[in-house]
Amino acid sequence: MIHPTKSLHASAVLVLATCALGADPDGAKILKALEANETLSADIHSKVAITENRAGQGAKSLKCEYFRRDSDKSFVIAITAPESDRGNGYLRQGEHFWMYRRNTRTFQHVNRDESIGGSDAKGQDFESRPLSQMYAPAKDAQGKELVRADTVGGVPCWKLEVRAIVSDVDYPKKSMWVRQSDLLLAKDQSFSSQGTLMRTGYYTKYQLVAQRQVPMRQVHVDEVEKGNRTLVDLSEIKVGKLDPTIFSKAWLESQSK
Amino acid sequence: MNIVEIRDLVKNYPLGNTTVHALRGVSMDIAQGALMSVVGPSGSGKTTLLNIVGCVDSATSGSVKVGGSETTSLSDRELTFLRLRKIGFIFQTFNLVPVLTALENVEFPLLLQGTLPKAKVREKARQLLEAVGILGHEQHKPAELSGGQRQRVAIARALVTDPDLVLADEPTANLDSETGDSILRLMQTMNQERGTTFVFSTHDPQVLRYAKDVVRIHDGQLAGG
Amino acid sequence: MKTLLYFAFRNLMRQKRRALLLGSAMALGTCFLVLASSFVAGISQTLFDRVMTYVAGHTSVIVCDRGFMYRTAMRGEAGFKERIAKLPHVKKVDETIGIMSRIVGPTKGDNGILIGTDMDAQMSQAELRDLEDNFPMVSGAFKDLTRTDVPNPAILSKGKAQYLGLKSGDGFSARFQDSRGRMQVGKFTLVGIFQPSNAFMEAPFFVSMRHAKQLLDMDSTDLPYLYLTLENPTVNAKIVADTIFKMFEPGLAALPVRLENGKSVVTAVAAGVKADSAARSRMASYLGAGIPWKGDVVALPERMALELGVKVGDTVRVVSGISRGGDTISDRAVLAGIWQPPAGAEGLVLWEEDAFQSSRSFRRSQSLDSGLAQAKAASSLLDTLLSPNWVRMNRALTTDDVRDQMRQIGARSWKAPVVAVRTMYETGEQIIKLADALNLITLVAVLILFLVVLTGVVNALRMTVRERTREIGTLRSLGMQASQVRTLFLMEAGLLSFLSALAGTALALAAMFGLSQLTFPIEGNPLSMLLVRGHLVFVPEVLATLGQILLVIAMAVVAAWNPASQAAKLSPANALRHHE
Ligand SMILES: Nc1ncnc2c1ncn2[C@@H]1O[C@H](COP(=O)(O)OP(=O)(O)OP(=O)(O)O)[C@@H](O)[C@H]1O
Ligand SMILES: [Mg+2]
Repeated sequence: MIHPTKSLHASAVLVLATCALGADPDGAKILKALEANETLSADIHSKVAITENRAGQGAKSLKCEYFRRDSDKSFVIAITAPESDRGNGYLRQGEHFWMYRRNTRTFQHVNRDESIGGSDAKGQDFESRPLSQMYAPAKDAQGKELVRADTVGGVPCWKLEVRAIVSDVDYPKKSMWVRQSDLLLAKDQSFSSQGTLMRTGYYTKYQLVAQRQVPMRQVHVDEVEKGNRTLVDLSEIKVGKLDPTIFSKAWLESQSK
Repeated sequence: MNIVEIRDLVKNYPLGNTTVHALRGVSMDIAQGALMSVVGPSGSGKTTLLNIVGCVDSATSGSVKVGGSETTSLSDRELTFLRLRKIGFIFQTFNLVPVLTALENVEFPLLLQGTLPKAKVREKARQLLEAVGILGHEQHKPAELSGGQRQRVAIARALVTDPDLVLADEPTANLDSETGDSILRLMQTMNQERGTTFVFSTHDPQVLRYAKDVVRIHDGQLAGG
Repeated sequence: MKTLLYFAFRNLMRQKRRALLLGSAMALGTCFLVLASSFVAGISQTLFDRVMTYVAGHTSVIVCDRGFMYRTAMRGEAGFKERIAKLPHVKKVDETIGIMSRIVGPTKGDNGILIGTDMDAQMSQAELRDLEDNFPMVSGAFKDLTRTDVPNPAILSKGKAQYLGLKSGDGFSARFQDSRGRMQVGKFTLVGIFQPSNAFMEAPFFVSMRHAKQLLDMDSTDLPYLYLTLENPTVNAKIVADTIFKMFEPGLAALPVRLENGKSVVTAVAAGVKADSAARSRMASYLGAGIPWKGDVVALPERMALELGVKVGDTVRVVSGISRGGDTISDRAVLAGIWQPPAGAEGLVLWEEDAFQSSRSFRRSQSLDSGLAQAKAASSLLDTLLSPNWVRMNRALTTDDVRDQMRQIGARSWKAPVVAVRTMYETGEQIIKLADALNLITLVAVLILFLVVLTGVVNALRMTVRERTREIGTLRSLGMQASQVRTLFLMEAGLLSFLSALAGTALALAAMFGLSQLTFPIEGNPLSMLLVRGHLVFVPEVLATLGQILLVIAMAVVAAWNPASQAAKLSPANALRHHE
């Protein structure tokens, strides 16, 4: 099955604010700009469609409802389609993260680094940390930040290379392409410690939501298992206080009936 | 000196609701070196008397002293021990152990005693087999011997432990008269040569001529004497 | 006694037919018993020595880094392996690495478990054969994992190789998470293919232990999972586990560090200090006015702060070592306050536990706990606030406990490495249950045999006693004691059963030889796990067989007791009068 968690979460973390930068690209400033808007001040609710293309297996798609409340690090994902997965879901409340299975009517606690149903999403991915606490701009031998002009799909961008400054991150090296015009993330690439490209993400169709720019479409390309790509499409984003009962096991369970 | 002293010996056998009075107050002495015959008709109590004297049966009342000890107050263990050391038995039906050879049958009581070394035991058994005149048959099983030969082996077995007293219950009843005579003569010889006390029962008056003493029993009581 | 024995023997020969009949029944019974127990012993041996040692170890040491269940290494504690290997009853200590991975072939990907196989000198010829018995090779061999002419030699199952479209010599890649939690991808060469003996054995993806460690970013100082092979595991598993549990008595943690502020540099020893709310308020009272004890913070002795030229609120660079990549492992911490170290702890920096432990986890190849004396000196003041070198999980007693424990290990955010010691009784309960069930076979064999012996011996002896009543009377009158009569009959039964048991054992050995010549197909056979190269395994144990022979004799003697006593109790006079 498709696991919506990873991509969804990435989409939420990378909500960006519009922020212009002078002609002189400054990696630290770019990171700050990205980080400044990581947390949503308001609750949100949206519909999400995730389409996963697996090499040789065609496309599978999954639809879900996504509720998020950053004030206490909670979210709920309730799967609505396909029928075989309908009613399954995920719940995060603070430190705890559960996976709900309709068939067995059980909530399974997901360990910090447990892979979720065989995907490369892990429980730990939901312990969000500010971007600047995880990465810093990489520097060349002369101590200069590795930032240069590039284009993504013809759009002028800054290409920024970052390195993990803490040990426990999935990818120790990343490259980020940020649009020069509004400093929105257009593309990123993640590398293993050996420098192997592991995945590439594209972020398009930004839309203003509660003073944040949200990419309504993300494409994640698996660079190891060639041909695997995942599309994440957001729609019907609503902003505003959500019913607190939504962030409970009972509510998630009720969705499966 | 008496090897056996019996006073007022009574033996009753319960039989269903009634009681069989096998011995009704027998008193008698058997002197050391005697060759005594107990004579009486069938059912008169000969076997019962010999069994009690031989310590294989117990008295109902009265006193029986064998070699000075009062057998009525001894335990089964002690009685068995007494039989082993002091008494030899000869049976009407020979009663040899069928799985053992003639020699082994004779050795057996000595081996039970366990006091002599194996070689001595063998030597002594041979001597006795020779004395009873069946040397040459020592490796035969009882089934391979004639009745007379078997009874000779039985006599050798009874004598091998040098007992004070040998009890023979109708030793000739299962033998033809000629063989019977030879058996009795053998007992007579043994009595004379070794001084062993012999008591044998019979209902055949013919046999009496071999006895030095005769005790007549009738219906559980001694008749006259 | 000798006379009686001889006599008993002669008596046995008397009723040859009866003895032969009863003897054959007892011999067959013994044969079945010896066969069954050797079969069960064979299966148990397979289960405990082959299956169990691969699946769970007789006793195992489980480690994980701060609750990250798949980061199965404890830094700098490899010494435990040697110490454990020296314990009594420990035959072998295997490092075990098994990591979920995504194997990617030219067209498709599939999940597999990356397993490190120790191909170095430690592996004996016999172990190598065992391994290939469990994973029969279709092509290549396990020793090919040591090849150096290709990158990362690997072995896959036949099914997996087919599904992925790989053949021997092909290259493929695999994605997995290393021991530091980072996503990694490795390039491998398929050097061997094995035919799994059952469906469970499809998943392994073997590489040499050395490569596995490199791929997972572990080195020789790291302690991975340890699976132990023990002598007599059913007896010793728990004993050894308890001993190892004691060895892992938690203590304090310390970490040599270098503090930098611009050009000023000070070397020091760091100790971790908890940062929960209770700890925070206690720290506030030790530090006086300062910054809350939360996040990446340090507290320095006054002298050190002066040397570095920093004041409360300033940032200090804490350098704690060199990573494998050659990078300096450093951290920027905020000076939360000045503390007054007790005597002996003058060079001690207090560091917020999270940052402290993660630096500890990331450091490599150096003794972690030099400077421990300073931390110990500080414990007089800070006692419960200091961070431990590891957290030891309680000994789980049941499979459920272990499941709970796994959940706990993963769910709680442990601040220090976690270690748990387990035995096959908790981790391999299924296998133990199977072995127990098999023991039932032996029990049934014993019961059948007992019935045979009981009815056979009792009947035969009763008949014999009746037939030989007059002989008993004769023997008694010759001076045989009642107890000797009983002994005689017991000896007859004992002798018969002894000879029968010997014959039965010989028969069983012959049957075992015959049965183990048969070859069963391995493929698609659910019981193939219990076979060795398609053959049944019998393990006739000398002691067990002797025990079984004794058991048969004992049963016969017990059965004979009653009739023999009856014979002994006969009154000699009555016995003599008996006419059959
Ligand atoms: N065990 C017994 N139970 C009951 N009655 C018995 C028993 N033994 C012997 N008797 C009876 O006691 C009496 C004496 O028997 P005993 O055998 O002593 O006679 P006997 O003189 O030896 O006879 P026989 O010449 O036939 O051998 C007989 O009436 C016999 O039936
Ligand atoms: Mg009579």
